[in-house]
Amino acid sequence: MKFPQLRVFGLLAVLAVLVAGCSPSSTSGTNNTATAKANSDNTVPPVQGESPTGSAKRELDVPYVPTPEAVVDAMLSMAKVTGDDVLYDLGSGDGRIPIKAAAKFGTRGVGIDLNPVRIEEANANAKAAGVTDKVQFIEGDIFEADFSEATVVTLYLLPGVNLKLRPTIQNMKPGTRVVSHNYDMGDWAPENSRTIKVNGTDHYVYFWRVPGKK
Amino acid sequence: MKSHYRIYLAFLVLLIATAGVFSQAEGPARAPDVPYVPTPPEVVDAMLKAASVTKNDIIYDLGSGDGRIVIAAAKNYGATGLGIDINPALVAEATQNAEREKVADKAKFKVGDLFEQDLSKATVITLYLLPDINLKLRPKLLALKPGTRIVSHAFHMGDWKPERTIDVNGRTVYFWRVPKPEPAKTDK
Repeated sequence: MKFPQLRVFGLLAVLAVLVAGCSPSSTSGTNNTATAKANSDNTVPPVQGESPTGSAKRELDVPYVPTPEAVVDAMLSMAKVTGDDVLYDLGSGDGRIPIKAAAKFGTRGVGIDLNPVRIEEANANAKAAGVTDKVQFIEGDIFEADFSEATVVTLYLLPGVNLKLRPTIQNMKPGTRVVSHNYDMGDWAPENSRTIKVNGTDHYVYFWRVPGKK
Repeated sequence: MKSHYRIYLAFLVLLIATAGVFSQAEGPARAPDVPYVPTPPEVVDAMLKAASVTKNDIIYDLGSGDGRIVIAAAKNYGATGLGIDINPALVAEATQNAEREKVADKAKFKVGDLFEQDLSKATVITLYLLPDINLKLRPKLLALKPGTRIVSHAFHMGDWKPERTIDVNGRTVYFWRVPKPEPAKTDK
């Protein structure tokens, strides 16, 4: 045999696999059930008939969970949104925040979302609400988009994503208003916060104003 | 000579494999109903976001494995939580993980049977079990305080329709809220 080491190595590999297979692995069952569980997600019916990431250019950082209407109202009211504002919604989903601001106050709004399916949906919703002249939805990455013209920024992201975005937001024009649903900005204390109960669940809205440069 | 060597190795394989089978001293009290398959981090986030988890919540994770859901809820969302797992080795691992992540004050773990565990303190319950286990657990969940939030990774609850279904890179998260009990029907 030319490569005895290889044979030994092969046997050792078999041994490793066997040991792994027989180890008192966590929970029970045979490894077959474990595989069944790991693969089970494939058997789940597709959601809203869309592909996993809705053909987004990269994996999404934030799962899509819409903000309840009562919370949208609170966000707009806490930021004192008016027709003179330019509102940017980062992770705009079905577009409900810019659309409501436009319909209610005549605010010009831009929604940014990574998922093109959401953009299509938001555009259709804007059309239905008759505010296509006021709002615009852009397929894009909130970490690369330029939203410096915003006077109000709205967010419903994730705690870690808020923190990642925080330096960019703090670098915006002093006085820019920021409202976030449920997640704060770590040790950047909000100027104001409010709790809204929706179907028995508490939702939190945080409000900040970008401070003046030191 | 060469063949002796192989026999020896084969024997060694057998010996170690056997040792593996019998070294279950650390194992669970009864055979677990569910294999241990961890939930990917982005799915954990989707579960916590779907359930609107905040610092005021108390999360119970049924089948908590390495503790990642309760630990993420404590670390990133400020929530308090209890993970229950039938496997003491996993409970020990989860406790260590919570200490390493400096959330041991908020994220606790205990060995227990999820069918016997008192869940009444939970405001949010997280699951990654199996379809029939979800169904077996369903009456217990429906008996919780109305408004208690339930999120399940991958498996639904039969004809108890979720309020929300979220797709996370091809995996599914289901969200329910325990409804108010139906008024007792009056028989004529």
